[in-house]
Amino acid sequence: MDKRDVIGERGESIFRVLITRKHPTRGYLFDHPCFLGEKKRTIDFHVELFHDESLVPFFFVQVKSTSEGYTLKECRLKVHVTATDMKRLAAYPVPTYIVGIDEPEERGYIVSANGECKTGFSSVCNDHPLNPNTLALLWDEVSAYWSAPNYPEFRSAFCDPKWRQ
Amino acid sequence: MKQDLKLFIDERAQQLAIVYLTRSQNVAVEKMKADYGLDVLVTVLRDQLPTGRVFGVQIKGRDRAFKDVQQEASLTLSQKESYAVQDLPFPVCILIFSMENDKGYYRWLKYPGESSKRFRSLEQNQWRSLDESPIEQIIEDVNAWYDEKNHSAA
Repeated sequence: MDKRDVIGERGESIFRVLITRKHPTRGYLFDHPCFLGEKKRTIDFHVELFHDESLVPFFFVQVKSTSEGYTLKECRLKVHVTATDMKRLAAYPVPTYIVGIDEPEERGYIVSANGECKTGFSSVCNDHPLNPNTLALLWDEVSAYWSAPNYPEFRSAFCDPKWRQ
Repeated sequence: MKQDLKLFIDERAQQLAIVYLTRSQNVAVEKMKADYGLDVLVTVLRDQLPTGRVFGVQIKGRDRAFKDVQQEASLTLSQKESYAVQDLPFPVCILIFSMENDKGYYRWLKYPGESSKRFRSLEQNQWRSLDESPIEQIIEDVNAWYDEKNHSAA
C-alpha cells in the first residue's frame, strides 16, 4: 500500500477514536462516524450526535492526515485543503468541519468549514484540539444549530483566527 | 444509547486496537468480516511486503478504567470463543481497552514464547500495558515463534 494511503487510513482510525472519546461528565457525545466512501467527493464522514430521540443532529467532516508535523513559525499542522473543497463544504446546508490529524502523535484539530474561508490553505491552526472540552463545545454548537427554528446562519466557534484577519 | 452501549464500546475498542497496532509500519491489519472468534488478523511485513507470518487478535472494551487489570480482566472465554481459537495454527492475543482513559492491555491467548514448539498454556500469562510494551515487542515475539517453528520443522 502507498505510504500516503497508509497515513490516510491510520488518520481516519485516529479520527474515529478521538471523536468518540468519553467526556468526563457528559459521557459519550457522538456516535461512531459513518465513512462515506472513497468515491464521495469532499466529505469523508457523517457524524451523529447522541441526542434525545426527537432529533438526530449531525455534521460532516473532511479528515486530512499528515506525518509532516507543524510549521516552525506558528506551529500550525501542515495539511493541505483546496479552495474547491472549502467552497463545496460551505455549500452544504449543515455544519461542516475539517479535521487535521497529526498521524505520528495521534492528535486531531478541528476547524469550521462553513464559509469563513473560501480559499484553500496549507496549514491548520491548533486552537481547537479534539479533546473532551472541544467535543462538548462541538456537541453544543451542532445541537444548537439543529434545534433552532428555521436553521439560522451558522457561525462556528471553531474558526481559524487567520481567517478573521 | 444504553442498549447499544456494548456495541458502541466494542466498535471503539476495535478502532483503538487498529490505532495501536498500526503504530508499526511492519504490519498490515485486516478486520474480520465474520464472527470466527478473531476480530482482526495481523500480517507481519518485511520491507512493506507480507511475510506470510500472521497472528490473530481478539479485542475487548469496557466503559470503566481498571484499578487492577490482573484482577479485573479475567481471561474467561465463552465456549464459543474457546472452540473458535483452539485449532488456529498461529499465535493469538487479546487486547482490552478502557474507554475511560483509552488505556490498553494485552495478553497472549496462544503464546509465542521462546523455545515453544507448542503454544504455551496461559496460566502465568499476565496482562501487560500497551503503554509499556511497544507493538514491535509483539512482532518480535511472533517472529521468534515462527523462527522456532521453522527450525523445528527443518
